[in-house]
Amino acid sequence: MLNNNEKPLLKVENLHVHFKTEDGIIKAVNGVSFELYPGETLAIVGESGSGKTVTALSTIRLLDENGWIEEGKIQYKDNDVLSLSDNQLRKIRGKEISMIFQEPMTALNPVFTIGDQIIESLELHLDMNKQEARRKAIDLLRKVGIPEPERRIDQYPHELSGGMRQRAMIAMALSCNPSILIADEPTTALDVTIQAQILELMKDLQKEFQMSIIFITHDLGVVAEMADRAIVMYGGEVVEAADIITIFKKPRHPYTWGLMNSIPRIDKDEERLLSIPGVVPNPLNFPKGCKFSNRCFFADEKCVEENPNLEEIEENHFSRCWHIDRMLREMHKVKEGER
Amino acid sequence: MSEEFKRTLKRFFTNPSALIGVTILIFFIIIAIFAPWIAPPKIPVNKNLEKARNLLENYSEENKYLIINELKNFWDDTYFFAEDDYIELSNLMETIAKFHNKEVSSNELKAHIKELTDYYILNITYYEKFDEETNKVIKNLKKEYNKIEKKYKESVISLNLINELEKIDGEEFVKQAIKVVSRFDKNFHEAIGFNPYIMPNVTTTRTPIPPSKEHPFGIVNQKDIFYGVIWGTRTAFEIGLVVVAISTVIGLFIGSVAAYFGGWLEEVLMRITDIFMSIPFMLAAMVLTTILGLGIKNMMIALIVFGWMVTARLIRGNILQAKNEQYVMAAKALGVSDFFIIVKHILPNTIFPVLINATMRIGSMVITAAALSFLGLGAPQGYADWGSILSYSRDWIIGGTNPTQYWFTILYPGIAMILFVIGWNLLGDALRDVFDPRMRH
Ligand SMILES: Nc1ncnc2c1ncn2[C@@H]1O[C@H](COP(=O)(O)OP(=O)(O)O)[C@@H](O)[C@H]1O
Ligand SMILES: [Mg+2]
Repeated sequence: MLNNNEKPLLKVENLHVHFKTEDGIIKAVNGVSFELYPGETLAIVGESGSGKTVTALSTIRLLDENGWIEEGKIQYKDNDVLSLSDNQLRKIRGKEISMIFQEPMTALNPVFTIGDQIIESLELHLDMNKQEARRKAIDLLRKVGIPEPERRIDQYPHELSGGMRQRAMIAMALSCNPSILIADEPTTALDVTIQAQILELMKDLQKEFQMSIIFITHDLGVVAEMADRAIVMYGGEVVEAADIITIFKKPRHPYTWGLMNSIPRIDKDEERLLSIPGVVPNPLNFPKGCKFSNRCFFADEKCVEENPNLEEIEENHFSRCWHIDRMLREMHKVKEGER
Repeated sequence: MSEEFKRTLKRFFTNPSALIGVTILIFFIIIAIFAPWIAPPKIPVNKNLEKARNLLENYSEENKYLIINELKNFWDDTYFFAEDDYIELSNLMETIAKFHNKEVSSNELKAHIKELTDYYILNITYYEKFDEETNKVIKNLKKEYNKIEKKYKESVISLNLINELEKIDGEEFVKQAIKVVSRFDKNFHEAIGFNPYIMPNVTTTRTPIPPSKEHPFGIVNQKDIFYGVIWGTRTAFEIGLVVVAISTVIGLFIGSVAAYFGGWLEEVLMRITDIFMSIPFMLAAMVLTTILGLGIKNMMIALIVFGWMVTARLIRGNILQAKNEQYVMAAKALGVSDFFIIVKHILPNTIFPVLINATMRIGSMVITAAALSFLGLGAPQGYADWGSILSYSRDWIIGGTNPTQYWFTILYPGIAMILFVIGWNLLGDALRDVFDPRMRH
């Protein structure tokens, strides 16, 4: 799916995002780069706190008030996003790049009907009048699989189930036919069957609307079905990046491998083999060298002292690790053991 | 939308506390509106105008000049000095203008003022205070001039009206004369400063007199309690609505500015709020009323100055919370502008608790005002105000021959006040149940 002949739709280069807090400056994103091509789905994977949301929000400059983009370049089509005026930016938000959020419970305003909220966006960007917008909104609700859209459109968020709300959210995000949809853990708050339906719906809609998706998740299992490529983030950095098959077949970073082992495997009795110990440290307390070193099975002095660069270890496969060889040996042993 | 609106209305009107609250408040509103008919004030009458009106009722040609005569007498009594006063003060204004241009010394101006005080055109204090507070005296003199100018103009108009009347006869005369008389009536009341909110004395006995046919709620301190309770309804609404409306607006402004701009501005505003809050409300209101001087207006100012903090905190907290809600982020991600986000997404989610709080405060504000009146700090002597009537009862609380002898001095204004507070509280409760979007389930 990766097609280097085509021009990327979105290009993020060396992004650094900082937040000012009472305890000091939090460096939430440190030099992230990626490209998103037309029609593809890029997954951003990592545990909670690794900087996925902040990276995504930065692409439309939607950071909280205490945060700012310290350094970097963001290019959407021919626009330099970081130098756009607020007005120009608002024309991109929702119309060109739109977003769906993790919590369908709270991402819809409880005071308005779901129709109001979809129509708001249509009126804003497409200059439609109320009637046209309403017709289009009903259409969208039908497309996202909400039954009886004529009735549902006048209901308040609390009258819908979680899955229905997420569908309404998706309808809202797709209302203006965006070229990029950012889905920030869109199914994390839903139960498993609903989760599968929503993922299926997103795949269908992607074809129909011909858009690119940035799919954010902490769950590698979901990524396999959804994405063409993945970047794995830890501590605000990209630690590994490759197409999806490579990531699964040949992980070349201990963190990616750890994430993969956290997926419960149906075919194995012993689950969560070698999953990652501990939790993501507070961003103010990351180790000086490799950010992952204090949780890594293979770390030594060097890892603690010095952060490795993100190297292209084979074509279009990047990894940030000093000890890929050690890891390979260990993976080999595990495979042997499995036999 | 209209579906939802209908549903909301239905919910409201099937809510028992809403029904009771609204009924009580409508009852009070009716009383307030119809106070002049329920407890008619004793309007003072001018003898000349009264006679003119009587003559007009049984009009015949020969009465015409009698009527005009009465009107002329009224005019003489009211406006005899108006022209002279006006000319004198105009001259004084010229002197003041010259004084500003430094063509006249301050001593010469002072001498001019003295002249006028000697003729009793001006109050002597203008002369006495001149050296101390020259600017203030000049400012007040200008006000004095404006007042007299208005009076003079009215005198010219009035005289014209009388002269016009002389030229017409018959029905036309009666029609015009009635208009003129009622215009003069109004001028008369203005001139003597008649105020229906001042309860008139209805007896000379000092001890309270129990309810009777004529005075259904009894009499205390020579005032008719019924009259006071009825007209006091207006006072209660005025105090409650004005104080709460203004203090809520102030609180909304301070709280939302703090929440929206954040940073040091928020810090400063919220510390000021804390300081105001740390002062006991009653004490602060008492001190400020004492400083400003007694009277309903000053008491209301004091209540406003120390009454905005809860609103400020409430709205700030709510906005800060709403700002972090995901739907605000979602709206931003859709490209909605900051202004619309505040107006459309944040305010509707934050304003309800403030309105509900305000509704409930209207009732309690009246209690506070009554407490100040009870301490002698609120309404002036004789003002129709429930708290004031209760304060009269203070002297009779231990009763005469038995402690409950003067029960009526407390009971009626007390009941009025309690019902008023309950009405607003029930309404606030109902609003919370029905309108708060977060309670909709
Ligand atoms: N407004 C903020 N103020 C301070 N720190 C923040 C803010 N937003 C995010 N962060 C920090 O940035 C880091 C990355 O957060 P985030 O991108 O939300 O992680 P993820 O989406 O991967 O779970 C976290 O450590 C988080 O604490
Ligand atoms: Mg996140």
